[in-house]
Amino acid sequence: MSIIKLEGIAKIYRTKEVETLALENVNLEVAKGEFISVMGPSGCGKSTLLNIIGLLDEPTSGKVCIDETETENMKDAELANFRNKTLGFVFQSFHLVNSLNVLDNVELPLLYRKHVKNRTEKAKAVLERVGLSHRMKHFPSQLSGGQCQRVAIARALIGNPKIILADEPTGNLDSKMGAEIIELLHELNNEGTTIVMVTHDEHIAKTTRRIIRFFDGRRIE
Amino acid sequence: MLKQNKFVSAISIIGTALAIMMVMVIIVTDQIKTNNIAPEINRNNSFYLKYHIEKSKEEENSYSSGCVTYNVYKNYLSDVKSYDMATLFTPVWSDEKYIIHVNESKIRRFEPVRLCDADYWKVMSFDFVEGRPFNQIEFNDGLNNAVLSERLAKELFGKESALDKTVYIFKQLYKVIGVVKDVSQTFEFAYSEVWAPYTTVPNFEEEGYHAIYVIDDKDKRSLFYEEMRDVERKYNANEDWNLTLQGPYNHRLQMGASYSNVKPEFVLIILKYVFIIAILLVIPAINLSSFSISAVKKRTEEIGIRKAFGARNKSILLQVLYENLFTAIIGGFIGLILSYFTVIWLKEWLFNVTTGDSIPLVAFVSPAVFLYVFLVCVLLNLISSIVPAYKASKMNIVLSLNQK
Amino acid sequence: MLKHLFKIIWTERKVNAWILVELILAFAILWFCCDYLLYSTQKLLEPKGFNTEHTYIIDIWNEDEGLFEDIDYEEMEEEEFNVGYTNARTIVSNWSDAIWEIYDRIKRHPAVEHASLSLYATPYAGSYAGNTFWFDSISFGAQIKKVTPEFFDVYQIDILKGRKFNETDDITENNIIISGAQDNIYKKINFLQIDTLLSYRKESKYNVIGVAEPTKRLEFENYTPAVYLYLSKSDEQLIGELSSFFREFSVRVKPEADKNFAESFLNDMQSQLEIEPFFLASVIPLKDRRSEYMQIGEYSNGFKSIYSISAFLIINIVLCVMGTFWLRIQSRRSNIGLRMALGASKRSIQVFFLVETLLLLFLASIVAFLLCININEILSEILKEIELPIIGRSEFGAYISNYLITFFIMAIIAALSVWYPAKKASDIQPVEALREE
Repeated sequence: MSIIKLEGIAKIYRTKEVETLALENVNLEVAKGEFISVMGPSGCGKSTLLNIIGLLDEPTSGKVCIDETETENMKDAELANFRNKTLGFVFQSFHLVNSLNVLDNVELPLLYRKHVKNRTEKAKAVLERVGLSHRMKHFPSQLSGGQCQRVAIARALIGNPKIILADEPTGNLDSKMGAEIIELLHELNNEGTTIVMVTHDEHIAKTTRRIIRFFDGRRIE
Repeated sequence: MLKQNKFVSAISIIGTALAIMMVMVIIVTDQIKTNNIAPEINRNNSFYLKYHIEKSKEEENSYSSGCVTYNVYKNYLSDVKSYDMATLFTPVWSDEKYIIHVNESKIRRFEPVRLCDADYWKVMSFDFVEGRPFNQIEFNDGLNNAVLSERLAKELFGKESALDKTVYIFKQLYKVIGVVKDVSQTFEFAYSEVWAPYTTVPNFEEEGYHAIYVIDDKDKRSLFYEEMRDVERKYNANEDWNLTLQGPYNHRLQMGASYSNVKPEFVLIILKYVFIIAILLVIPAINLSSFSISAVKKRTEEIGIRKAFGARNKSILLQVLYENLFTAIIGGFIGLILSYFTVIWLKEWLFNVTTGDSIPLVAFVSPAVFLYVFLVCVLLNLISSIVPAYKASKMNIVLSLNQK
Repeated sequence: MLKHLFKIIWTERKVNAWILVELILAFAILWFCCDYLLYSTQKLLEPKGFNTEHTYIIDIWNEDEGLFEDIDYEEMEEEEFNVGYTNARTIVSNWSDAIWEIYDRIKRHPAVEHASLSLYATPYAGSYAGNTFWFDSISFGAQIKKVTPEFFDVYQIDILKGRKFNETDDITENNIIISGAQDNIYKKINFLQIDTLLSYRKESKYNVIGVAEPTKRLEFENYTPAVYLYLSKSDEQLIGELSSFFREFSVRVKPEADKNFAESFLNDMQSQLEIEPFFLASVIPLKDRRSEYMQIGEYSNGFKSIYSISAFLIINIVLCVMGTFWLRIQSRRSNIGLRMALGASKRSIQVFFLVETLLLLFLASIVAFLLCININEILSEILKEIELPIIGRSEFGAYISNYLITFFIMAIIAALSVWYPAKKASDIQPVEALREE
C-alpha cells in the first residue's frame, strides 16, 4: 500500500521575467514503513518535492495522494488538519521558536489539535525519547545544534504522525551529531514511521533502504 | 509573547493608555452630566422646558426670547396633564447673586438663590441633614421658609443648628426650616446655596422660570408632546404674539440648548463626539498597527512553523488579535485610572465649576463606565490589529520558513 | 547620502507607509491647531484700543434691587396715580443723588487717578447695548456706551479727532463720540470723516464731536464700531431695574498706590459709600473680568481644547517615532554592523537615522500641506457647525506660516524622539551584529 503517491507532478515558479521549472513530470510512490532518501545537486528541486509532499506547497499540475487521500481540492482547514495529524517535519535550520522554551516548542503541534489531554506529559515523553528531558526549560539559544535538531524531531513526533519529512536534517551539524540524528531516525523507522529524507550526503543516504535521485527537476535512476 | 520586545510593548501600552484616557475623560464627563445622580435622580425621565420665544404678530422682526414666563405657565401650561411629576423653578446664573445676611448683622454675603415650588423636592432628591423642605400648603400661603446648604449654614451659624433661625433674603426675613448636604455645581437644576418658595418674592410673576416634567410611562409621552403643541396653539389664539416653546427636550438634548433662541441639533452634538473620538482612536490605532505589522514580520518564521504544524489561517489571525488585545486591556486599565485623575484635576474646565466643588463618586464608578472602557479597548484593538493579523494569516508557509 | 536614503525609504515603503500616514494625519491636525493659535496671536498683538492696567471696577449694589417697580401708570386711578407718581419720582431723585454722590466720593479717594461712571461700556463687560445708525444712505449697527467724560482717561482710549466730552454735552443731548472697526473704517465708511449720524428711524440727529481709536470687546475678536453717549445726571437707567449689573464705576489707580488696592479700598470706603439703598459690594480688577468673559465666550475652552489635542498628538508622534525606529534597529542590526565594519563612525549611524526621520517627515508634510489647502474651506465649515475651535484662514501668507511653524515643531519632536533609538543603534558592536547573521 502506498502511503505517498505522486502522479505527474510539475512545479513552475513564475516571476515577471523568468519562468523556472522546478519539477517536471515527477512520479513517485512510497510504501508504508519505508525510509527513502532523495538526492541531487542544489537547485534540482528536492526541497520543492518535499514541500509538495508535505502539503506546504501546491503543484502546478499533477496529483498528490497521501495516505490514500487525494489532496487536490482540499481547503486550508483540511490541509492544516492533515498536516497536524499525518505529517511531521524536520527542517535543516531547525526552525524552533526562539521565544518559547524546549517544552513549549515540542507541544506546539498539539495546540492545534482538538481534544488533547495531558499535552505536557506527552511532550515530556517524546523529549525523553530523544534524550533531552534534562533541558525542558531551556531556550533554543542555549542549546547546541544537535540538541536543537533533536528538539525538532521530538516536535515532529509528538503527534504520532505516519510520515516524517526531513529536509537535510544533518546539514547544519558536525558528523558526530549527524550520525546520532540518523540513528534516531532509523529507530523511528523501525517502529513503523515512514520517513522521506532529503540529503546531499552519500554516506547517510546509503543507510536508507531506497535512494531517489533528481537532476534539474526530473527523476533519474 | 509580550516579553519579546519590552520597549515596544511599553510604548504600545503607553499609547493605548493615553488614547483610552482621553476617550474616557470625554465619556466620564458625559456620564456625569447625563446620568441619574442625586439630587437629579430623574434625569432619564425628565423633559425640560427652559425657554420660549414670543414673536410679534404685527411687527416683523420684533420678538422676545427668554425663560418661561409665569403667564405662560399659569394660563397655558396648566392645561398639560400627561405627566407624573412637574416642577417650576428659577435658573441659577453664576454671576447673579443675592444678598443674604443674618438679622441685623451688616455682613453681607452674596449667594445664588433658587426659587421653586413644593414639587421641586419630589422631582429632585436632596439629602437633608436637618429639617425638611417646605410643603405645598406653606408654598401656597407664601410663607417665608428657606432651605440652606450645609456650607452656608455653617458659615452663618457656626456650630449651632440653623433650624428656626432667620435670614434676610431680598431684604425680607426668612425662617430656615431645612439644611441640605452641599450640591455640586455640575448639577444645573439642583445646585444652589439657598432655596425659597417663589411665591414669597414680590413680583414673582415677572420672573423667568424653567419647568421640568417627569414622565415615567413612555406611552404618555407622545400625548405630552401633543399637549405642548396645543399650548402653543391656544396661546397664539389668545394673545397678540405667537409662541414657540423651546422644547420640551429630554436631558441630553437640553444640554445643547444654551441660548434661548437657538434650537439644539442632536445630529451635530453626536457628530462632534464622533469626530473627537475618531481622532483620539485613529491616531494611536495607526501607531499600534505599524508596531504590530513589524512584530508580525519579525515572527514570520514562527508563523510558518505554526502553519507547517497544523495551525489554520484563522488560528494565526486570532493569535495576533489576542496578543494585541492583551496590550489593549492593560493600556485601557491604566488609561481609565488616569482619566479619573484627569477629570478631578480638570473639573473646573470640564464642568464650569469653581474650586472646592466635589463630584459624586457614584458618577465615576458605574457598570456603564467599565463597559465603555472595554468596548473602546476592543475597538482600538480591532482597528489596529486587523491588518497585521490578516497579513499574518495569509502568509505563504514556504516563503515564511525561508525568510531569514 | 540623500539619494541613498530615498532608495532605502522606497524599498521599505510598505512599513514606511504606516509611519507616513501617521505623520500626515498628525501634521494636518497640528496645522489647524497652528492656524488657530497663530490667528489668535496675531489678533492678540493688535492694540486693543484700551488699557486695563491698574484699573478696577467698583461694584455698587442696591439693597432694594428689584423693589423699585416699573409702575403701570395707565392702570391707576388719578389720585393713586398722583401719589404713586410722586412717590416714584421721589425715589428716583433720591437714588439718583445717591449714585452721583457715591461717584464724587470715589473720585476723591487719594489712590484714584481717574474715575468714571458708565453703562454697559467697560472692557470685558458682560452687558451689551446696541443700535442701528444711518450715515448718508448706509446703515450700520454699533455698540452703544453711555459714559462720563473721564471714561476715556480711565481706560486710556485716545481721541484721534475732535474732543472728549465735557459738561456742556449734558445739555446738548445729541453730541456723540464714535469709533469704527479696523483702521476706523466700517462698511467702507471712514469714521474719521463722519460729522453727523441719524438714528434708526431717522428721527434724531447726532453730532459727532470726536472720533476715538477703535476698540475690541476682547483681544481675540475683531474691532467693532462704537457710539459713546454722554451719561446724563438724570439718566434713570442708572438706578432702574437690574441696574446693578450694568452700572459701572471704573477707577484707574496711581501706579505707586496699586498695592493691595482692592482690599484697602473695601476697608476704607465701606462706610463712606453706604448711602441708602446703595452699598459697596466688591472691587474687581479688570483682569478678573477678562477671565470671566473668556470663560463665558467659550474662548478659554477653545484654547484648552487646542492645547490638549496638540499635546495628545505630540505624545503620539513621540511614541510612533521612538517605537518605529526602535524596531528598525532590530531588523537592521546586521546591516548596521556591516556598515560599521566598513568604516562608518558612530556619529554617522546616528545622523543616518536622524536624516531618515526628517526626510520621512518632510515627505509627509508635503502631502499634508496639499491636503490641508484643499480641504481647508469645507472642513472649517463643518467644524464650526459642530462647535469645534477652528479658524481656517485661506490667505497664502497664512498657509506658509502655518506650514513652517508646524514643520518646525514636528521636526524638533521627531528629532528628539529618534535620539534614543539612534544612540542605541550606534552602540551596536559590529562583530556581534555580523555574527548573529
